Amino acid sequence: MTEQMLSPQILLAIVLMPLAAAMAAGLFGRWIGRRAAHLVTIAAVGASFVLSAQVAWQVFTGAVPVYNETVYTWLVSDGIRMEVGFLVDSLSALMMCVVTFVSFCVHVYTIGYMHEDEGYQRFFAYISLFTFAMLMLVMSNNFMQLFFGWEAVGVVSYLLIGFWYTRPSAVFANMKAFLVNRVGDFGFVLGIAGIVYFTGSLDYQDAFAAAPHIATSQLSLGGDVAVSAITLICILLFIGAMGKSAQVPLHVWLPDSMEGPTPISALIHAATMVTAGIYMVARLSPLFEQSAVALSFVLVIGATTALFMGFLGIINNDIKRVVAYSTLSQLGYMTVALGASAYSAAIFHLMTHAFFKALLFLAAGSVIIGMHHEQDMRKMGGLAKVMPITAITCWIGALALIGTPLLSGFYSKDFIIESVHESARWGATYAYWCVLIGVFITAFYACYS
Amino acid sequence: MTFHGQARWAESAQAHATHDHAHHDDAHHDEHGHADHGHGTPHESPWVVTLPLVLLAIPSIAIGYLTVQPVLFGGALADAIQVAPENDVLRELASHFHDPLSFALQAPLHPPFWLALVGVLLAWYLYLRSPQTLARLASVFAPIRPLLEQKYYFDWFNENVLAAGSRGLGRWFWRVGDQTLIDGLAVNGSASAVAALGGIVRRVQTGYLYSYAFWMMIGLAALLGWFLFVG
Repeated sequence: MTEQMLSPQILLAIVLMPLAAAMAAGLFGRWIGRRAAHLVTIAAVGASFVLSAQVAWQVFTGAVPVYNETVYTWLVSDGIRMEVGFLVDSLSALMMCVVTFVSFCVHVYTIGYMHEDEGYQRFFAYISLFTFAMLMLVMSNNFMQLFFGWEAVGVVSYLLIGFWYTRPSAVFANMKAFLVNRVGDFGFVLGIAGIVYFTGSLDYQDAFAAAPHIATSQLSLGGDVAVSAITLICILLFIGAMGKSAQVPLHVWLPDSMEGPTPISALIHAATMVTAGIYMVARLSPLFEQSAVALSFVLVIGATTALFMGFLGIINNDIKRVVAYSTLSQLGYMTVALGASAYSAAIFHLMTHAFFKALLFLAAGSVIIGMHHEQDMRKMGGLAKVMPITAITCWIGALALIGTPLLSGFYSKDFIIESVHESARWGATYAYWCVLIGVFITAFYACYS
Repeated sequence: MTFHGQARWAESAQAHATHDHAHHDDAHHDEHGHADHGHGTPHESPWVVTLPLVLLAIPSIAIGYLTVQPVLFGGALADAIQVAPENDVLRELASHFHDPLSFALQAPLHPPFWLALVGVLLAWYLYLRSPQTLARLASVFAPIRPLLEQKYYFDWFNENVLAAGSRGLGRWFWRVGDQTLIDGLAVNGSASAVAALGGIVRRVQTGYLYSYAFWMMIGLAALLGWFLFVG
């Protein structure tokens, strides 16, 4: 063998093991029982993580070339191929590790958090299914599969926000999440349609190859009104990202999503799913780079989210909602980095944020267990003495969030701020002040909790 | 406020004990063994909860330090992310960055460090040292408090303008489109039109022989008249 390649069997195994486990726990949960349900899902996600880590190691050390192959052709219609394929490069390898690692931690945690719940097996089925969908999304090499993963994580998110379906507030919250995301998806689908219109293909590489051509084209909006095609397509795609990554004004569903069980808030509504929009824009950087207008739009939206959602974190008393607003604000930081063309900084912050925010949520959940499902912080206080591990880990999470030097959040957040400072793009000055004041706000509410 | 300061749960513990959330079999998983504390007292969570916390705490501390160089400046993501040279702000920053440790030590030279510190100290002062100042601040900011409590009125707008508007539009379509046009005109309308037509035709179809003979005579007269005067 002259050159090693990633084997499609391993990649398929990474994706399909969580799906198989989800089916086992979801369809046969009643017969296999609680213990088997959590064992099979944890084993599957754990194995996925180990394989992902191995793949990432090979990719980052340069032992294997970028993998970009189709594994299955679903249908060919009018020359447009709809396929299942994997693109495994550094970006997807990094995302795979983050997704499976956080998912694994959340699976283990769930044993403790949900052990009295009626829907124990159902819950494990959902989170494994989510892991499958998210992996499909990040490993995709075409827009079709990206959209499939995009909607599949949306479905699971919807199911999980309404997990306690007898609570009216949970049902309201999941309906809200569903509707708001449809608004975003509308833009997303139109954006994909625009790309297919120009390239006749759903493949990423074809779209990237056509990017300079799209950049010089105009799209007629009826009559004499025409706009730059690339700007329109990028803004439409970004509207999709705004829905999923909860940017103003499509952010309203995220705080309400806290109606779901805490492990979900950690996995889906903090660490992974909400970062899908950030991932998508970074993945499509060759397209976004062609449109300064679209990037300015991204920058301003992100900055607004980063600052103004931070303010809301201050006045909340529900421990989970404080963390939720902080998530909104941090997603705003990532979006700002995208808008400043610092895609790597956005992904870097995505990764560090996934860890410390999942940690904060799980610690908050641990407090909620310790307090017998009390979420109002005004009824807490002085818990450090009785819950030392929770308190210490929560402090680590909070310090990382604030950006304490040497901790993860410090590097990622500082470089976003510096990048915006450096950027000459329209809106960068506004964004710089937003993210700078945001630092103060973040520190304030993080400590207050 | 959660971990430090006054233990505000102490007074609510009694209330919790009475409507206990069925939290008995913790002791089974629990290594800290304090089942005898009663149900209202907070306690450390079982290991399946604390283990993920510890697992996540490790990258929260270290991953930034370990990966900042390759990810941001070493081109680790270069095969996936394309940046036009004139937009490449990270390359500009690379010249200021040598290694993660010295960058961290230079943190006090940048404004974010001081802003974060002020934020932390202010929170500590307001919540743990001087809640009176907090109350005074709250009254100063009272005018903007509704704005924040209503989350900038986004929900209000969505529920009362967008959702209510869509419902109103739907109701309008139902009344005008469904009830008036489809039910009224198309469904009931065709029925009543047929009924009205039947009413007219019924007058002709009397069933009396003399009336049919009479109609035949009128027809004959009309035909003859047509041949004579027109044809």
